[in-house]
Amino acid sequence: MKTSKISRRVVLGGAGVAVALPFLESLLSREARAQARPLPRRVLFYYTPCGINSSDGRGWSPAARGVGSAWALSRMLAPLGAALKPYTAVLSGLHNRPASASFGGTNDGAGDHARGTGCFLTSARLVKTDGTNIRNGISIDQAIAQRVGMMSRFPSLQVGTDAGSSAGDCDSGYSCAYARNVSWSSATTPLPKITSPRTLFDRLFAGMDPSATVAANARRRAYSTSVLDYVRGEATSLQTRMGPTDRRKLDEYLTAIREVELRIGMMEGMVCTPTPRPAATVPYPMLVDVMHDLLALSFRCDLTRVQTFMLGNAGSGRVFDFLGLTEGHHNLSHHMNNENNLTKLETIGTWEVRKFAELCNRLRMIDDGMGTNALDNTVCMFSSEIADGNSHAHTGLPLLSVGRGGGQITTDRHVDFGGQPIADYFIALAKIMGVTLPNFGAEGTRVLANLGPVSS
Amino acid sequence: MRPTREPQRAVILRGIFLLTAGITACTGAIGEPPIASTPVAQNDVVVVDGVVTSEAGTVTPAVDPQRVTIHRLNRAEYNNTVRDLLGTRTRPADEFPADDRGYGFDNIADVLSVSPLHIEQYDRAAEALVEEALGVPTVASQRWQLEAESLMGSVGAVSGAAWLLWSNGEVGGMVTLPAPGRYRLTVSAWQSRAGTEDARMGMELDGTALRTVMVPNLAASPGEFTAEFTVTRAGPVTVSATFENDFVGGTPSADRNLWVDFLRVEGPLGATGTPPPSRAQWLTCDPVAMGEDACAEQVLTRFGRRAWRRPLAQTEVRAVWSRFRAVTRMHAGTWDDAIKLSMRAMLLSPHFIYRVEIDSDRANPAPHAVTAHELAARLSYFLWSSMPDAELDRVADDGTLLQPAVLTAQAQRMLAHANAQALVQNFAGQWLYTRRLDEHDVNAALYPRYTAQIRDAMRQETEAFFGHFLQNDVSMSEFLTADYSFVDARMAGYYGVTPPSGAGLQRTALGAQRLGFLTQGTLLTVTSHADRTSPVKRGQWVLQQLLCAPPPAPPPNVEGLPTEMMVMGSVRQRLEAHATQPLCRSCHDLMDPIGFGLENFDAVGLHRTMEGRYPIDATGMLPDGTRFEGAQQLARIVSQDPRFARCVSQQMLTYALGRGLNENDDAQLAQLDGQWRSSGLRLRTLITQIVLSDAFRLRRAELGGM
Repeated sequence: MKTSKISRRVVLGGAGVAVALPFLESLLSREARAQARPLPRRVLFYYTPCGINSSDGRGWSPAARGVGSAWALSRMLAPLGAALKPYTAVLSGLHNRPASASFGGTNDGAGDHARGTGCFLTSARLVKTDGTNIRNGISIDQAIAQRVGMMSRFPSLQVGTDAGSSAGDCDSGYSCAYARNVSWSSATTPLPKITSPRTLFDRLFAGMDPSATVAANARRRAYSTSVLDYVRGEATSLQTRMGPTDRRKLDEYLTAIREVELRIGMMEGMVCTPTPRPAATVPYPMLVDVMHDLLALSFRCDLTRVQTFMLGNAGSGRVFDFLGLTEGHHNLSHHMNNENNLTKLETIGTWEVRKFAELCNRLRMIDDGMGTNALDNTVCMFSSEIADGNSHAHTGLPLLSVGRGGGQITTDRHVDFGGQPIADYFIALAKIMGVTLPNFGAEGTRVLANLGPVSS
Repeated sequence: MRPTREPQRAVILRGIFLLTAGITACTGAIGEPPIASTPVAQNDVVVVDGVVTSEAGTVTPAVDPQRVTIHRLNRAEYNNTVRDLLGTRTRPADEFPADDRGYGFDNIADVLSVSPLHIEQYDRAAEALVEEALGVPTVASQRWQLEAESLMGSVGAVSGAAWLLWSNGEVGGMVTLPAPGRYRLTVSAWQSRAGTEDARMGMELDGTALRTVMVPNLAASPGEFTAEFTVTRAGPVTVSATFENDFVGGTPSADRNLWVDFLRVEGPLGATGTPPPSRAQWLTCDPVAMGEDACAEQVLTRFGRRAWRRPLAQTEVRAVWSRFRAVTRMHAGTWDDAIKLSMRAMLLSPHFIYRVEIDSDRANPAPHAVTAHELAARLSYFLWSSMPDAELDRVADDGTLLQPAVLTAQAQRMLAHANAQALVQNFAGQWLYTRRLDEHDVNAALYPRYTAQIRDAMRQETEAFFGHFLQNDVSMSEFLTADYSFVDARMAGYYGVTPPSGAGLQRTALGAQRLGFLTQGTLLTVTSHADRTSPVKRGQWVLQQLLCAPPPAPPPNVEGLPTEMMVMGSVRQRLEAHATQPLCRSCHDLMDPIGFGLENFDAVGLHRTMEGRYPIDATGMLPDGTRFEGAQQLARIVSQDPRFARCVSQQMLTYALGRGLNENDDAQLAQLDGQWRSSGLRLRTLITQIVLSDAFRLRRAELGGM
């Protein structure tokens, strides 16, 4: 029941203004640039909470397996439509076993939502703690961004719709850090997400001033560099006076300083005209659309090549009143095989797919040059923290891979992998992005076979 | 809430407890004395990280203060700190990422982390804050002209040298403002006339209306309409003109439309050289008269003392100044620019972002006192969620804060200060879940009486109630059994009690149906679902937040029962059907009775005797056989449980220290518990005792080589 003003600009600045104007303006420079360098590859990870039941006959999994005309979109995947089916690979039968309660000999009991969320992109075994000794693993988006991130203004972006509640605990003895962050730059550092459209906009376009002189830009750069250099020295000398735990905390600070330092000055020479500046808070569900605008814009303006988006936090209790529902998402997901609940869950899941499809369509309309669009050169992964919300299964996850990844993924198909680790899919994505990983997480050992040209 | 942190050798000792107490998962219940809470230290040795700190057979065990990890300011603390440091009314931390929580609070040092996003935002905030505090508009007034025919509107098309809005919509563009200040927007527009009124045009900044005007002008003589606005930060803004009353009709039929020729922004307005008052507070000398370096040292020494919460060494000040003076010189910057850059850097430094505490002898594991400045920061962040004020600084500078009498006096002074409201918002807001009220979803169709005003009134009631115990020295033994609360007329109507005379929140008798905190709207609402009550959530909340005895998590594979066991019936009846499973009963017998006792209050805290067509059954039986009926009897039972008082001190100590508690704190808690009880359970006494305690005033180094 938040009261917030809806900016008309937010509503009107949607598809029409956002896509058209900058497209026209930057077309020339993009063409020129496209001739000079290879096509940009990008990856986007789209997280939904509370699970989607992926078992046969439940509306998610297409009935047939195969390529092209051999398979058809299921009920819940209908929003992808004829436009996106050619780009879509429905990947059934992938597991994220490290998220289960029992894995590797220990039984951690309840907490499947926090576990499934925390290791959504890490496929690592989380340490169950309320705070003192948080330990996860690096997430795949960061494993990629740390190698290729220097090509763009931001190595990666973390965006979401929910900051999370401001009191209470998150899930059964797991710290909120696990429940709210899918991006982890190391085993101990979660990367927080931005959940306000205006904050995201300001971050993307801060310091971008097409009218600034060369001297002004040089001064700005020099000042920022000197400030960061100074505080880095302060932290380094402070570390020498601290014990091991405090030194690790300051390592976090130093890593963050270093990354910001490396990116100073990358805003100059940008030829992308941003959309109008959005409002600070936007009510749900319009918020989703506004954030999608900015994600698409970030790709189009080549501000980043790696994004994660969280459509809620672990075990989200959101009430989808605009879909005519009155119970919270998490409660419904414990459906207990009640037909009413199952129908309502399908409604939510279908809406989530529709939102994802809208974002993918925006990418499809970005011209990457040389006859390709952004969806040809990108891979967008859609999944959820668990499969069936009733049984909290981490096997047979609901997973969509939309985008051709530069031709490396065979699309327009539904394939069942029969129990392969999702970490192998992550390794494949890394390879598409030009990063070779010999292993990943607790189970990933190779590029997922039978995914496409990347598998050979 | 007890964490599961396990120092090395203490695992072995703890294992013994787990073997005996762990298999029957839920032990202990309301009304019984606590089980398995014997401090480890009383048995034999306290072994922590391989170092023995007390001896066998000791009757009064030594308190192990342990250590707090280097402690980053959280968002509330950042906002309050910059408010007290610079007098700003902006709240930059509202844009920072949410703080992660542990042990129930968002000020836990181990859980607060720093990411590149944090650094970017800290730096931007620092730059803007310094500019706001010192800035003189050195930027000459500029002008940006946006010709509408080169913009793109949301509707309409280019028409000659203007943009034609042929139905309701807007046209606008972005300008990057170079400095905070006042600006003027001018829009040139005309209409085609139709109907009885002129075209109505809105002038907007970032989607917010600045001004709405009627446009009587026709194409032959366009009108110019102006509106002024203020920005507090340099950066991009969007200005637009909107057409609001498109119309076709009348006799003869005509079409009303709006043409926009251009949008112009000018500024910053006003005489350059009018500094904000805070400038004089910081720039207390004249660099021309005194010498640039000498004056800079004076300014930065004062600023550093406040910003870093301790005196700076002269070498530190000189290092800052010489570096940034050199950088600004290379880019033709002034002394002013160098001062601002220095301050910006000092606000990004770890000495500002973190509360730094140094162990002077890192090889010595024995507990030692923190310095007076470190103690002052601990005290002010505990009581005010902010930096020390001038008075506290003074007793830190002269070292007298380390004396118990002075420490006590300061604590009491600060508790009486308005800034202590931070305890209500940040401690109580999280301990009592008051903060969740604003985020809590309620099904408006089912509960039309729960309006935004009621929600606000609920929050204010709980804040005032807690504040009453804090400020008026009332015993916490009344917290759950008070026959009064603090409500206004609207909330009194909601509760069905006699409204107070006079406006605003007044102390009001609660009548026969309610008693104490458990029956306040805030708690009853945030522990419910959007569309019904949850006895399990309410029971779990009481056990966890008031008794610090949360039921263990469900055993694996128990979530997701294969079928709904009972579809019809009241919430209570359906819950009772589940609890016939023995695996469920051991924990549900702890939680459910509490929740049943509160079933007379629906999901938004309204009293009821029926749930639809089912009469409410608010009886309960606790595991030890005690029977009760209704909220009042339940409240009395919980209030008298010895774990309640101890839990309050545990929660308060966690918040005060900013770390989770473990077995090594049992001795400290036992001391606090005893002292507090003998004082009659007054919060101020508890707070003062915490401040005087070893855990608060001491720390010890963490061993581990470089």
